[in-house]
Amino acid sequence: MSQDDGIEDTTSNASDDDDDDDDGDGGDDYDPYAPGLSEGEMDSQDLGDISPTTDPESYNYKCLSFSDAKKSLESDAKITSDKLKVSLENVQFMLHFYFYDVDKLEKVYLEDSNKVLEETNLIPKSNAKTVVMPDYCPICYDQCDLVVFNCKHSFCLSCVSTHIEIHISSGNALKIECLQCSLLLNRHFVVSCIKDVQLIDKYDKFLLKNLIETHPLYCWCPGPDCGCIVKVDFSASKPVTCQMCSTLFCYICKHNYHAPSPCTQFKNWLKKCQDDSETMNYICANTKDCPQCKVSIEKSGGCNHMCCRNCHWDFCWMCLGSWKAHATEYYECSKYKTDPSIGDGGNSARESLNKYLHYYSRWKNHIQSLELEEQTRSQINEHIQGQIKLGNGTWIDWQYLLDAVDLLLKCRYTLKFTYAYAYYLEGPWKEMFEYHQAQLEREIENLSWKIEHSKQTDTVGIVKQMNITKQKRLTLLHQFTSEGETTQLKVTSSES
Amino acid sequence: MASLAIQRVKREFKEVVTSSEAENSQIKLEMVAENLKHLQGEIKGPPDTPFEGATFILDILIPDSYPFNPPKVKFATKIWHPNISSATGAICLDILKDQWAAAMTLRTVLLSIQALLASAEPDDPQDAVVAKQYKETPEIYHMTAKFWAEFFAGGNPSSYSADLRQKVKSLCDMGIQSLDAVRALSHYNWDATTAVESIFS
Ligand SMILES: [Zn+2]
Ligand SMILES: [Zn+2]
Ligand SMILES: [Zn+2]
Ligand SMILES: [Zn+2]
Repeated sequence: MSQDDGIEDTTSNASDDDDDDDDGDGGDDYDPYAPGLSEGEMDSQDLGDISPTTDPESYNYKCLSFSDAKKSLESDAKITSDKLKVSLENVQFMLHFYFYDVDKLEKVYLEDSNKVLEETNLIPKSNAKTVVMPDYCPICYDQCDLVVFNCKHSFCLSCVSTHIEIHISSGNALKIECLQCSLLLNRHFVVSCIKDVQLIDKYDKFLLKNLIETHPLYCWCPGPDCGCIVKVDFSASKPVTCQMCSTLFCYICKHNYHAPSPCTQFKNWLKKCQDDSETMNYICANTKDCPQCKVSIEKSGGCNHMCCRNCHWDFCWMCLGSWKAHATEYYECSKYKTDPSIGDGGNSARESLNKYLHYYSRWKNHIQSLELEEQTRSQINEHIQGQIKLGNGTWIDWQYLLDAVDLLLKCRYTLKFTYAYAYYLEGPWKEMFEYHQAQLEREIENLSWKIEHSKQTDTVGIVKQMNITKQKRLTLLHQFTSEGETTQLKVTSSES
Repeated sequence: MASLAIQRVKREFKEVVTSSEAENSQIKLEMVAENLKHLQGEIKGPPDTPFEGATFILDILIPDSYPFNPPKVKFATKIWHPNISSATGAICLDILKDQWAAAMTLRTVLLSIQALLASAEPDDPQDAVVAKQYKETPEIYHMTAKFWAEFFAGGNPSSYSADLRQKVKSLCDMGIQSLDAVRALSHYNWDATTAVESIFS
C-alpha cells in the first residue's frame, strides 16, 4: 500500500480491477473533455506565467444526424446554387469537384459555365464524336426500347439498372457514369432507374457519405457504430467530443485527441509504440520495490508521489528518487537526461533505445495513472455518498472534489501526450518545452496528492491547486500547439 | 456466371478472332477453361518500341459482374515497363480500373494494353524501379526492356544482347537462378558487383 492516509483502503480492488487496455493510446473508457468542465472563467492568479488570452483548445462544432447533415450540406450549397442559377444537386457535385473552394468555383463558372459543366462531366464533352443511335443495346445486344442519355448514348433499361446497382453496392453513389463515356448520371435519373426502395435509401446514404468524406468541414464520428456527423467551422487538429457516443478525437486524424503532439508525429509515435511494445512491457509493472527498505510497493492511485508504508520514505514512482527534490521548483523527473557515461561514438543504438525508453515509460505510466485515477474517482464518489448519508454536507458542498478529479484526468490526459511530443523535439525548443512539462507534471502531482488525501476541510487548498494546475496546462498548450508555432519560429531563429 | 457475362464473352471472343488485328496476328484470344471465366490473351510488341518482335501472354479473368466491372488482366510473360510490375505482371491502366466502361470489349482491352507498350506513363508507375530508370537513364531502360523482350518473350536480339547475356551467365555461374540474375542486373543498371551484393546480402 502506497499511501498512509488514503480515502479508503484501495489495496483490494487495485489488483482485481486490472484493466488490460494495452492498446497504447488508451483513453476509450473516460472522457476528460466532457462538457461541463469549462475553463473559460478561470481565475487569473499571478503565477508569473504568460496568461493565455484564448483557450487554444476551444473549437466550435456540431454533431448532426444523417438528415441534419444532409440539410446542412444543402444549405451550404444553396447560396452558390442561387448565385450561379444551377440546381442544388449539380452545385454539390461541382463543389466536391472543386474541393469546396467556393470562391474559385464561382469565379470560374461565371467566366465560362460550359467549361465547368464539361470538366465536371455534368454535360457531354463538346468535342465528343456524334453518336449513331444503334437499334440494339450495345451492352447486351438486345433489340428493345433504349434509354437515351444526354450524351446520346443509349442502352436498355435492364443494363442501365444493373450498372447502377453494381456501383451502389460497391459504395459509389457520387460518380455513376454513362456506360460508354464519362457523363455523370444525376440523382433524378438514377432514382428513376431503380425500383427497389431499399436500394434508393442505400444510394442516398452513400451519396451523403461520399460528399462528407471529401468535405473539409464535415466528418464521420470515428466512434464504433456511431454514425454521427460532425461539422466544424474550420479544419484543425482540435478536440471533438461526440455528443452521441462521447468519443473524444482529433478532428484532423480521427485518433484520440493528442495535443500538444501534431497529427503526423503522433501517428509515428503510436506506430513506434506498437512496434516496440514487447520490449517495453517490463516497465509497466504495477509494483516496485521501495528504494530505501526494498519492501514491495503496489501503486494504487494515479499519484506518482509514493510513500512507503514500511519506512515512510517519500519517493517518486517514475525515477525512484527522493520526492523532496520533486517538490521544489526544479522538478526535473520528466526531463530525459543523456547518460553522461555513454560516449559520443559507437553507442548510438543504445542511446536511442534509452531515449525511447525514457519517453515510453512515462507515456505508459500516464496511461496507467489515468486508469487508476478512474478508480480514485469512483472511490471519491462513494466517500462523498457516505459523508452525505452521515449528514456531512450535500452534493453541492462536495462538488469541488469531483471537479478536482475531472481536472486531474484532463491534465493527466494532456501530460500523457506531452511525452509523445517531447520524444521528437530537439534543441532549445525542447528545453523550453520540458521546462513547461515539468511544471505541469509537478502541479498535477500536487493536485493528485491533495485529492487522494483530502477529507472535507481542504476546499480552499484544493481549489487553489486546481487553478494553478489549470493555468499550467493551458500555458503549455497555448505555447506548444499551432498557436505557439510563431513563438517556436522566433526561438529557433534567435538561437541560430 | 451471369448469363450476360457469358453472352458478352462469347460475342467478344468472336469479335477478336474475326478482327483485322487478329488477321495481322497483332492480338489473339484463347480459352483456358470451358466456362469462359479464364481467358488467355496474346499481344505483339508494337513496332519502334523495345518490345518489337516479342509476343506477350496475358492472363484474363472475367468477373461475374462483367461487363459492368472490368476484366482482371495481368502479364503472364515477364516484361520491363514502368506501368507493369516486373515481379507480378500487374498492369496500371485506367481502363482496367475506374475508367472502365461497360461498352468496352476484350478487343479494346487488348489494343489498349498494346498501346500502353508504345507509350509508357512513368508518372503513374506500377513498378517504381523501372519508372526511375525510364526517367533517369532512358538509354539503359531501353536496353533493359529490349533485353527482357528478347530473353522472356522471343523478341529480336540486339547488338548488345550477347554482352548482357554474358553478364547474366556470370551470375548464374555463381549459383544464382537466371530470373533472379536478370532482375538484379536490371535493377542495378547492369552493374554486376552491386547486383551480386544485393542478392547475397
Ligand atoms: Zn442491355
Ligand atoms: Zn455517354
Ligand atoms: Zn460518436
Ligand atoms: Zn490528429
